[in-house]
Amino acid sequence: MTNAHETEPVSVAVARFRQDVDRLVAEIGHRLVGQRAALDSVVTALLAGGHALLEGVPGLGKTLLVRTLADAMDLSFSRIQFTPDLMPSDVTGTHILVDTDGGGRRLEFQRGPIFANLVLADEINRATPKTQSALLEAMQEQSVTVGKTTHPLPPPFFVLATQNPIEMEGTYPLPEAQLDRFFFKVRVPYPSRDDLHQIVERTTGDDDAAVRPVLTGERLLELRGIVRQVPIARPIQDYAVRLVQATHPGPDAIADVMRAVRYGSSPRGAQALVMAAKIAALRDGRLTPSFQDVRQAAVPALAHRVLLNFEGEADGLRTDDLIREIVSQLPE
Amino acid sequence: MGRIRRRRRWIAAVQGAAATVALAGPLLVAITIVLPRTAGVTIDVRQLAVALLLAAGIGAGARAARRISLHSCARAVDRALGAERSGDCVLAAVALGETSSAPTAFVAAVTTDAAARARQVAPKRAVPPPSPRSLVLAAAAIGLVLAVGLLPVARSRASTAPKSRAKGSAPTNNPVLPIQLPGAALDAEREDVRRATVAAREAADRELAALARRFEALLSDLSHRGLDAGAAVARLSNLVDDAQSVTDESVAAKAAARAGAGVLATARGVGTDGAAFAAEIGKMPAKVPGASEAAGQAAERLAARGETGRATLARAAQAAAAALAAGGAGSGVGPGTNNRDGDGSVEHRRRLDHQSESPGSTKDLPAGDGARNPQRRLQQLRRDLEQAGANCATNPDTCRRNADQTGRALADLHRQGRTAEARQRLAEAARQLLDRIRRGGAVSGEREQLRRFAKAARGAGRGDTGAADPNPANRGEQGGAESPGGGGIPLTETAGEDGDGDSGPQFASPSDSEGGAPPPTTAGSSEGSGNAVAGSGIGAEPGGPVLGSRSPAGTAAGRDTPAQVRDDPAGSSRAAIIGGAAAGGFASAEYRRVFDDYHTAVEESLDATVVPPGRRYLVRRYFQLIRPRTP
Repeated sequence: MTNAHETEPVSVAVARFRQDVDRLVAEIGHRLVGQRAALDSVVTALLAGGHALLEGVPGLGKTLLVRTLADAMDLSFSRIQFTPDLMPSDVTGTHILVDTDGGGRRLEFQRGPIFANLVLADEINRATPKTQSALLEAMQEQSVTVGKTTHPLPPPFFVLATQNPIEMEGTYPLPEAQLDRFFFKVRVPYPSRDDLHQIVERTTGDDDAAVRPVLTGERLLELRGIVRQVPIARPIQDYAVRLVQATHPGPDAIADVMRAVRYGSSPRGAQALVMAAKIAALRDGRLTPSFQDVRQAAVPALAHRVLLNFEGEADGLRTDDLIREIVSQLPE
Repeated sequence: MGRIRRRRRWIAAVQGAAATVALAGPLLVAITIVLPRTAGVTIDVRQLAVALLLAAGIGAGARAARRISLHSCARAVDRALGAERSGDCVLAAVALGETSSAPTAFVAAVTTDAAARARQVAPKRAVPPPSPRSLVLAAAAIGLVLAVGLLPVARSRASTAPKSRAKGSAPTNNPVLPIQLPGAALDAEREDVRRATVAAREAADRELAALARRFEALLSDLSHRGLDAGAAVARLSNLVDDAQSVTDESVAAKAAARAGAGVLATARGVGTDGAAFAAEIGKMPAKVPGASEAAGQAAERLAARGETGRATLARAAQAAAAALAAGGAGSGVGPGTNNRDGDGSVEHRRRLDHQSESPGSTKDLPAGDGARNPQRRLQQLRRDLEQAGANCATNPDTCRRNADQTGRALADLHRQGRTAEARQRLAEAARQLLDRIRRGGAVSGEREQLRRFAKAARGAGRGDTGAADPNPANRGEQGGAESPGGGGIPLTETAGEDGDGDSGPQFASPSDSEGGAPPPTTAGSSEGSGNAVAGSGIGAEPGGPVLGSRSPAGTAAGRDTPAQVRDDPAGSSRAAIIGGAAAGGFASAEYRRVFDDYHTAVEESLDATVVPPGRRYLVRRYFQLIRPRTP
């Protein structure tokens, strides 16, 4: 990995980072109306090398966002529509029998759609757990093992999954282990009235907003390298760690956590918090994250990692609100 | 960062000092107030100031010695920069500097950036002055300490310095212990001052007026500003001494004052209305100034009708002389004198003759001599009056002239006597107040007793048998024996309503009635059965000695004194009037008359007997509390 300071001064590297990311966001914004928070979260997950789970009702632009992101980046893109009858091999690929030049036959691995830089797992909760788990290794190890052979996925590898929180019939909620592998869970809100006007105007006319690639895969990897070089002060890192610990029921936990939480966030939550904070600092032109950066990342990074107990579920408690409550009560 | 740390240390020191002073101030005030009462140790203002300074120094040192971390300084700079601009960069730079052994390019950049940002922040902006709350509290505490410590000392110096020069040494109990009495507790003394002022104005007695003014100022200081005990005692001692110095010389003049009014009227009436006047003068009790004056006025009224007679004139002069002799010789002690024809005063005259050493006319006496030896002057006046009476039989003109001269001399003596009486009363009041202050803590308890006493006087106390008796007059005076030591003066009154003679309400000595037993009838012509069943009164209540009961000291100093009060044959009975006043308030005209009689009797008793000062005060206070009110 190339260190930024070896090639250019830190300030220049940070400025270019900021410039590239802003350009990417702006390019996506040419097609995607609104949804700035969701877009930022997705970009953050992309820069952190994680994966994002987009949750929202149909028609809010989740798929469009991912497709536009792929268009704006010079990366390979594949889309997998998850259905109940989708098999794991449909995702990862399978061995097929092929004729050789010498007239023989041999089994050859046919790569599945997961072999792409950018994978859209649409309506991921409609597939069976078996198929969903096919993504586990790919998402965490960025490799696929079929038979006795492990096939590395091309970097950068980025999974964007979507799910519909309303139509729960015939769905298979993601297991905790898989949820934990998503860097961010992003709620896609309903657009505002102005945004709706703009969406209608763009989609009902003949003006097809073209999106051109503004970021290559190599540059994305460079940007990820810069992010990892950003130092974080111990007090701020400690704040992130305490935030994660505060999601666990325990003697120091707040009342709601004690009452409604079964399990708190995994250490991946702290990793996500710190990485997201670093990216936020860089995108803001700063060289190190602040407490506020950690606070901003708390909900998308931790909400899907907190498992409610029966009482919490029965009360209709939302983990987003719970995380906000923890943030408001945790001192710096 | 070092500058910010120094500023924070400095502010912490100030805050520590202020907080310590704010806490220690009230504590010191409490100690200043409590210590003299409990341990008898007084604290002056210098000691208070040193203690405050010491507390401030300790507080400042303790706070300033605390460790001030670089992180907190960095946070202060970040706050000053603002969350948007800073992004906690200074804190991050400090923390990274502590943890990074080999700074990376990013860490170096972070440090450089933070240093550049921190330079933009002045220490004053990063660490603003603390909120003045602690300083305000500290200032209030200092003010409180100074008020407690300085004011009593200043008053003590202002009031004791001139007295110390005048008297050499003044008794002081606690120089810095402030004494402030409620205004109502000094009403009796104010009344004495008022009387003295009136008497001084009538007699043009500047010395008495000055004494009254001094006493009034002292009372005002005690009730409004408060005085420390030392100053109050010194001023009262001086006042008692000054009032006492001339009081003893005027005892005889005071006696003349009692009879003077009547004798003056006698002199004026001689030659004009002898018969009627003789009758009036015969009824005149020499000890009662009001009665004397009434007799004199009656004589003047009769004189206006032109009734004359030489024989009766002679008897009138004799009677006046006898009255004069009784007043001067008895000095107010002894039974009432009924000298209808002058024969009853033979013994008095004999004694006076025996005491008289330098006969001569009153006109020959220098004015100052009378003031120095009024007893002697009184005797001379008596002889002049007898001579005038003898002349009346032969030469009415000479009689009238002599009587006139005698009357003027008596009038002068009368005025002198009144001022002497007022002066003595003033001295007595000052002495009682001095005694109260010297007793120190008894003031508040005494006030409480008086409050209960007043409550009882209004009929709001608790009694047992008194409530069972329908006659209010027969109810035992109820005292509030609500707490140990509480009590009241068992004043009982028997009304002989069932008898066919004169009702004879008796104002009995407190020691005579304990538990409501009917007091013995000691004077008057009461033939009534007096079947009053008094209430249990204070004496029957548990807890503490009865206020009216005779203490060992009281036994030695006091004695029972029957007092005569007259009843009005016409109108409501005295018992009914008092009962009505107790039930409906002290504002009726009838009650005012009854009260005047009793009050006069009480004053006579107090003057004639050796009542301990504390009891004397209580008696006066009681009558002050049940005084007639304005309707």
